[in-house]
Amino acid sequence: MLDSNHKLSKFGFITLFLSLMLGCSEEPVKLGFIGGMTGRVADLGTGGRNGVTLAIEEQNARGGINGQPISIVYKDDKQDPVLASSLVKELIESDVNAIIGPMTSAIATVSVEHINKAQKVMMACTVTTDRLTGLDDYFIRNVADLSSHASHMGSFISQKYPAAIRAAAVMDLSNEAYTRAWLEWFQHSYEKNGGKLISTATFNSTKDTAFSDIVLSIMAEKPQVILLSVNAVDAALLIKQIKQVDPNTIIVASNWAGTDRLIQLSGQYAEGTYAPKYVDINSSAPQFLKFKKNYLKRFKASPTFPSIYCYDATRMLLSALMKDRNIERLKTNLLNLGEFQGVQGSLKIDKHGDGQSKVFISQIKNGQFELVD
Amino acid sequence: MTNKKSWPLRTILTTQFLIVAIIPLLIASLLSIILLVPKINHNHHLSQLTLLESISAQVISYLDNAASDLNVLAKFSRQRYELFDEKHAFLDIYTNSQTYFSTIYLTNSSGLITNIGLPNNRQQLRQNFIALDISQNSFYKNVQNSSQAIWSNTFLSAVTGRLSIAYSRPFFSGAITGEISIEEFPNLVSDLAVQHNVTVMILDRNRQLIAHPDVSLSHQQINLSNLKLVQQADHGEDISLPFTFNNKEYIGTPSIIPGLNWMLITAQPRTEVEAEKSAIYDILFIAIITSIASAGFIAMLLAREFLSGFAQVALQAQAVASGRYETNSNKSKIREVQRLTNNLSKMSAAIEAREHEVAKLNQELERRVEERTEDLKQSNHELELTLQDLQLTQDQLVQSEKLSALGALVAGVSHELNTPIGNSQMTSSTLSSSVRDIAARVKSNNLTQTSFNDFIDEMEQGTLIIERNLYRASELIHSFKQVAVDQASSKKRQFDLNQHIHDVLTTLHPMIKKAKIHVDADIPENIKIESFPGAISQVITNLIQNSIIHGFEGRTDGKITISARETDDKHVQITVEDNGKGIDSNIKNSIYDPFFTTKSGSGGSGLGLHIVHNLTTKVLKGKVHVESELGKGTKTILNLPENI
Repeated sequence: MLDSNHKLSKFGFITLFLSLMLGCSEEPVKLGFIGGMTGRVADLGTGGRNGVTLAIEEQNARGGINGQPISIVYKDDKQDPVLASSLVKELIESDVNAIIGPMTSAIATVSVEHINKAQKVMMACTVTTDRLTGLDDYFIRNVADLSSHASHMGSFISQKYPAAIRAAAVMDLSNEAYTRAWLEWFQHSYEKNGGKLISTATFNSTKDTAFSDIVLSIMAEKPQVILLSVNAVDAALLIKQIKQVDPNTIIVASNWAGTDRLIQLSGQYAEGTYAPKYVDINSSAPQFLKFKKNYLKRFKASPTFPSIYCYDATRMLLSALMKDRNIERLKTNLLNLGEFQGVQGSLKIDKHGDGQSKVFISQIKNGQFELVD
Repeated sequence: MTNKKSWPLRTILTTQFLIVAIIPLLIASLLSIILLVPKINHNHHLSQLTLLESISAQVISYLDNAASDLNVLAKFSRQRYELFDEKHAFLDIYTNSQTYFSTIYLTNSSGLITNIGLPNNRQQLRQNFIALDISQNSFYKNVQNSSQAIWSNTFLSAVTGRLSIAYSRPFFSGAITGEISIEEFPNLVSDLAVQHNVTVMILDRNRQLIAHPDVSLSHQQINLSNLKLVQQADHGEDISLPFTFNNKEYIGTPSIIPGLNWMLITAQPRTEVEAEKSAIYDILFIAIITSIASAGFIAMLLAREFLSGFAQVALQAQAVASGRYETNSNKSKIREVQRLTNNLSKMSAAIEAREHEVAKLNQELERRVEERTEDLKQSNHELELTLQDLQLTQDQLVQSEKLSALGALVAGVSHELNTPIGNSQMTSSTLSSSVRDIAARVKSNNLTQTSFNDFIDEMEQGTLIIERNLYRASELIHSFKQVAVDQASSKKRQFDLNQHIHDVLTTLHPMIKKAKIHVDADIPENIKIESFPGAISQVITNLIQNSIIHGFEGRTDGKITISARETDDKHVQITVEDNGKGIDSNIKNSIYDPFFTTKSGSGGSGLGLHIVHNLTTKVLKGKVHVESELGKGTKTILNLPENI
């Protein structure tokens, strides 16, 4: 009896010692984020990243996923498809559970083949290209594709300005997957209603561009409407040029350009510009106000469209992971998530992994976006 | 007795050695952790503060220099607005000739850019920026409101497309602004950082990261206000704290640049900072492990030495216990154990010697015992002879007792017969005289009718008396004869118990009468037994004699009751009970012993009850049991088989 006691205590001592030495480490839930966080498109990337960060920090404060903390690796693709491609592969190799992002359609299109091959879920929040719509792939998003937004915008302009039947467009080739599709869907409904897209000027935002030349060339055609399928910084510079030439031109910016930065950079010129919106930034829904307050406290800035969608996308991803940590079933679990209460109302992902969201049309008035439809 | 648990020596030694080894080390560890570690932390903090001070000074002087460049420009051109013409040459030249600003521009009162100086490679983009409206920029609003020069927060510049900060001061009705790309800042702090092997981070007023050695991180507008370090620094606390950034752990020391309200953080990888601490922990850990190991090892060695010593001592003791007295030649390194072994050897030798002595004594004793046994045998033999003599004497005495009883019987018989025979004799002589008288009268013809009738009456009466007395005598003789025959013949026969007891009592009548006691026999009719009637008479006689002699000594109211009953198991129980003085409990155990008497010297033979016992058990095959209490009489119970 004494001897066995002795052995027991010895065993206990060793166990205690070993457990002290090894500590108890649990595998955290590891996620990846990819987005352009520097350069001209940084407003999407940084906003999206902030949304993701807030969602993860809040979930970790609530105890993570079943007690395991969530960690995330952020990758800056600088809106460069080649770099993005290698970063996505890097994330896949580092064995993240899922990737949140990217922010633009151009990057999404080059990423999809990698994630499908690796069967890794990519949860996007601001990618709206229609090229990825209706595919049974590992690319999932909680935002609706651009078709509804762009075509709605087209018919809106036709109805609002029946006389404005001549339109010209400026398109950024650095995110062609988005910008071209946006223009095409706009054109589709605009021309159906009797309008005509008479010319399209292109440039590449990753290179310095003298916008005055572009503006002068398209303005020569005397368009009544100018479509800007570009990012916010470029839109700001273009709007200024356009307004300097003809202040009465109706300017329509794509969703991409229609961010607060556009207003900040273009000031008074931006007045009257139209842009479709994914969110109602002035919503007074309680859950949105709460989110807005937390976001403002955390980042000392107001939430933007990407921060809202990426915040919701991250919460959807986490809630699927919370139900089942199995990564192989993550895609199915996300598709079966059903109606999800987002900060701007309920969100739904269809069987192809595409989101359904409302369409708002806003106009800049007194330095602010105001919903007009 | 205390029931204290005992432990193996190995456990006790190991535990105590471990305690001795670990406690001082633990105290030392605690002290070094309590005293040393905070000191290390403090020193680290102080060194970081010093570093922060110089970095801060460097940043401030950089920004001061930049500001003064712009201030000089503003003062120089204050009176010469014509310098800012359509060609922008003046601002272009100035922008390219200084090192701080990536662009310098003038804005009018509406916030539109009127003049802009650009680097040579971007001058073709000038039209993009001319008349750009920056009135929505917060720094522009601040300058307009405060009418003094300020440094802006970080913003994405529409001119350069880069994150920038701007120095802006009122100029004419608008402002003059220089933008510095934040890409410059990592270079600014990198020298000092490299020199001190730290990561220097600069956070703007919104606590957004604007400078980091990894340039790509500086541009991502990462807001670090969530870090505890940043929050505490904003509350004015002077601290160094660990924090996690970009999935790496650091120890950071923050400091706020006065005026600008930017925050500088020097960060070192946590492992590096804590290398010194972890070295201390490692040393303490190794010391503890080493001392545990060595304490354990020494305890084990000691325990082994002790245990082998004890085992030998135990073996030796066992050997001694089982009678082997070899001396132990094994040597122990422990002097005390060795001494114990030696003493045990000495003890075993002493025991051996003493055992020899005891053996010798034993032999002597045995011899003596044999001698004594021989003597005892001799005396025993003599005693046996004596006993035989005694038994012989006893038998003779018993015999004489029997004879004396017979004598008594004869005396009694004679006495009893005396009366009827005497009566008969006397009557017959009376009758004889009457006959003679009648005969004389007949001769003398003097016989009258009356006298003849008298004679006849007399004769009838006399004959009747004689008949009666002779019958009585004959009856007596018959009884005596039976009793005498039984006593003499000792033959087994079938008889009626009641009849037999009455016969015995009849023979004892003279004795009973003489003793003036009363004897009652209450015996059921028809108890037929087949046994030795002589032995029963002898037993009853002896019991009555005992009662008379011992129980009723000096008393005349004695009463003896004889009763009998058949028991279930073919036995008859005869009880002889007197109301005499009883038997003293002291002598109760001796009453059956031969020659035991309380009347020694006054006629008791001491054989009465002995004979009763002998006859009952040996001849009648029964049991005898006496119940008596002093003063309450004696009850003798005989339990006899009906057939033997």
